[in-house]
Amino acid sequence: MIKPAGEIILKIDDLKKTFDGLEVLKGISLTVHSGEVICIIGPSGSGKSTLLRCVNLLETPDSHCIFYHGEDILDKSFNVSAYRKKAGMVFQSFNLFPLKTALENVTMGPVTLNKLSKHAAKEEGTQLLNQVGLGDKLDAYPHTLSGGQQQRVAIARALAMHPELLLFDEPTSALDPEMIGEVLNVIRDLARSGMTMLVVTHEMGFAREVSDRIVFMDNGLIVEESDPETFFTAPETDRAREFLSKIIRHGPSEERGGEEL
Amino acid sequence: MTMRFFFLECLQRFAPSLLKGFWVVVEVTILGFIFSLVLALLLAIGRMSKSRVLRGFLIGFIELIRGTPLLVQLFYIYYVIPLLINWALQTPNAVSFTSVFAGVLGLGINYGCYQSEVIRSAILAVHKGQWEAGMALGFTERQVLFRIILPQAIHNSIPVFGNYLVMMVKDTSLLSCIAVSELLLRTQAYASQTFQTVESYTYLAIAYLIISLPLAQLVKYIEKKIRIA
Repeated sequence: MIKPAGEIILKIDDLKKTFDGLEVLKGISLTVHSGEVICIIGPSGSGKSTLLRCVNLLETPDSHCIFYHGEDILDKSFNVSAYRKKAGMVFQSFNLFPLKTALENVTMGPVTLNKLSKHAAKEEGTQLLNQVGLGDKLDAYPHTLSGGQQQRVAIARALAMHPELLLFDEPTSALDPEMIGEVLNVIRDLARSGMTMLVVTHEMGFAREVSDRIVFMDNGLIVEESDPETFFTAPETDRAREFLSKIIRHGPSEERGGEEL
Repeated sequence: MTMRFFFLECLQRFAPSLLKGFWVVVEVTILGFIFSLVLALLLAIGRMSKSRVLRGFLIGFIELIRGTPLLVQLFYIYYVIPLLINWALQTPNAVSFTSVFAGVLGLGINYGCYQSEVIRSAILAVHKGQWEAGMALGFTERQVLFRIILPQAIHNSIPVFGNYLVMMVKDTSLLSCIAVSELLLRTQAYASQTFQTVESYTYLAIAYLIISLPLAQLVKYIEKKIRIA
């Protein structure tokens, strides 16, 4: 079931990305509406992460092809830093700042970039860490936290910038199985709160549950794009069917972290 | 003829001078080391500049310093640089360096170049994800470098800096050659006056140990303290 579409936040039009002559993205077109949760799935090497990294300009696409509220994000006059504040990103490997406490990780962006007072930032940071279930870890340093806890701090850090769009790049792939659930729960809550999200994930049960749309990628192209029910029960392409059957044969993700399909 | 030693007498007579030399070593080391750290930081940052000319110049300078002996650099700074300045300004004898100034400058420049390489490799060793996390939050490249990457690079370099500090203490002995009245120069003077060579040089070695051994322990302690997974 597709939600009534909000305004268009992001429009990707024929995105191509080449690394050293190897074309990783071969022409991706995708429109993201406000409030939409889109899960991007597909086999390794299909270009999912590259797509997400292009959206945040951590990689530069080959041509002008991404538009944020109609603005060309690759235009010379486009304010990339301001855009990135609005398009938060959560990484597979958390990338917390190791010399800063959980709370400092969360408040650093708002204090430096949004000129929020330290006091206000701390208050909000505390509230965000509470929201992700880490109210008791405010002063903990990243190396003392588990992977799942680190990733939740990373989510709070992204939220502190009040993003309009959140990009998740395989947020649970680096986690021990028993920690996947706690992170997915946080992301699920965000999805329900109406946050616009692009999620690259291998957690099929999660994708089916939270997505408004599934984007299935293979070999640098979007092979199939449909609502989750259709995709998981009656995939249209052979490639998607093959992918899903392999995933299910090798142990569905829903057995991990208490996920249910 | 039997040789007799006068350790006690030597200690009494030599101690005041030795103590003065000790404080000179401490002073020169502190000043030289602070200067070297500032220079190291500037060099390391400069080498990340977008300007190819600046980068090339800095690499050339660092290689020049690393490729010549510290002692030669000290002589050059003490004797040659003032001459060159006077020649350039056409002001004979107007500029000269005190030996302590030249010594601090020499130690600072020499150690600054070595330590800049330490910082530079520490910057390169910071995980790429730290850059990305900073950029993704909306920091500019410069902000990420100064607020996220450099603090980590410096933090990770502290143990190496500590080792350089201990080395610098010992290298201050070279300053005796440009007439800084530090420990070695004072010992040479004392020994030549009294012929208590064995005694005075033994006390000299002990004086260095008194500084460097506790310092090395301190470095070890700090290293243990700051180690973060």
